[in-house]
Amino acid sequence: MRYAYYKSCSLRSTGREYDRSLRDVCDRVGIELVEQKDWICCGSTLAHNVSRLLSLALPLKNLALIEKSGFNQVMVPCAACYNRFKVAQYEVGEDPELKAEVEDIIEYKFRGKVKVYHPLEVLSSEAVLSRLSQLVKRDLSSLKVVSYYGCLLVRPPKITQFGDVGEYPQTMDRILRAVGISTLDWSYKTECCGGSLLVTKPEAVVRLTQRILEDARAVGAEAIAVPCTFCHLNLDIRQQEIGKKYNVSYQLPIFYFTELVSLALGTPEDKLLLKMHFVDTRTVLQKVA
Amino acid sequence: MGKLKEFDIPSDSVSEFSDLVKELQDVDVNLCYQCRKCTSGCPLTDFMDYTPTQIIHAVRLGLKDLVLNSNTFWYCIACGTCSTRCPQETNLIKVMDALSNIALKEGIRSKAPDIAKFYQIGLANIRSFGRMYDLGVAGMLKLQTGNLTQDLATGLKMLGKGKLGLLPSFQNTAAMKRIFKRVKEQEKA
Repeated sequence: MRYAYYKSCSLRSTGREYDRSLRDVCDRVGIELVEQKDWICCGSTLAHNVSRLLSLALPLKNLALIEKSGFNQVMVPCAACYNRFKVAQYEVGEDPELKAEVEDIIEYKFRGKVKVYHPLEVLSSEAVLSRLSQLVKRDLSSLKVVSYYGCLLVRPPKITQFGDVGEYPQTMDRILRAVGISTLDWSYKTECCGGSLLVTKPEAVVRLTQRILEDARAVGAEAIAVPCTFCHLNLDIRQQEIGKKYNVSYQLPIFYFTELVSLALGTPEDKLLLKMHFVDTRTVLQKVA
Repeated sequence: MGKLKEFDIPSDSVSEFSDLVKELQDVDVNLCYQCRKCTSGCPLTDFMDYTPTQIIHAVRLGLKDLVLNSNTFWYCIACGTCSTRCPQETNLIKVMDALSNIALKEGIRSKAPDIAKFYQIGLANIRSFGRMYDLGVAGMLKLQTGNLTQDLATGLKMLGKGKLGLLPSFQNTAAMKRIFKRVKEQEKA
């Protein structure tokens, strides 16, 4: 399997560990990722607040570059980018005039429709799942994890058409279970973490993430797995602050789901960038094996 | 269950403001029948001065000043819970987008100035560099809002952990600038 890889701005900075572990997992299961050279920022959570045309032109420019380089499918690991790519395709798909207008702005006429996939969709196919379970090298079966999906992949389902159930998704649970990790049921799978308010309104993020951490702990989770760089930051970097404000100590390590898969497939901890996490991951990992 | 149609709404304009919202984002506030599902699911209502249900009604009534002087649409982070659950499939994310589009264009003094600044600084940043330069955005935002100490410790720790690149890199900035320019021209036309 071969995909164009839209690396996303966040995987070059705050989420470098996501990129590292995702590439490792893809390598091991035989998925080839070809990073696009000239990609630009998709406008993320910013552009749609300022201009509709800009918010459509930026992701579609990237899809144009991808189509031009001969790919008809792309893997987009950042949930915000994935969302904007899907929104842009949906909007121009519904409105031929708008499509012509945006094609004029980006100076490219699409031949077809590039298929946009999130790693969760690709890695949860039956073929990859069975490959994953054959490759397991490290027993992480005693680790209790909850899968947190956040907002941007699953909503609005009519638009993102994420390959899973909108309000109670299962893809990450299936992937983690395939490599022997127990995932628990819980109520906050798709509750919002506060997203980009992390920069401007940390107090809102603290309130929202506290509820998520609290429910994770209530069901007995020892760690949370995430598929999104915003979710990772918001859940990981403020646990100390939350602890002080609510007088609790969560100390729940937040893993990219690809990090857990990578560990289960035998990648040594020091080959991943786990040291970039705020909440220490070693205690939990030493306990399991 | 199919959604209700605008059968009892006259086909001509209900309010100029709702027309403007429709023109900008192709979303019809007249489909809303005020069931409040959006507000029930919205994670940020605690911080908003009007609920999403109230805002959509106010847009329909044409209460432009009230709406644009609220903080509701600034606090909306497009999590999509409202749009997912709306029985009328009114895409409320797009209503909120239209409102920030209008407010920024008309230079309305924002009820959440740091959020408005964040959008503007963030976009100027990707326009200059082609890709997001996080440290640049954070630094500029703190400077321009005078909020220098907020989150300083967290920011420094992120730097220490290697989560923020010190220097920007320039990537395909020609294509990026050209898109910004062409969008602007198109919007003037």
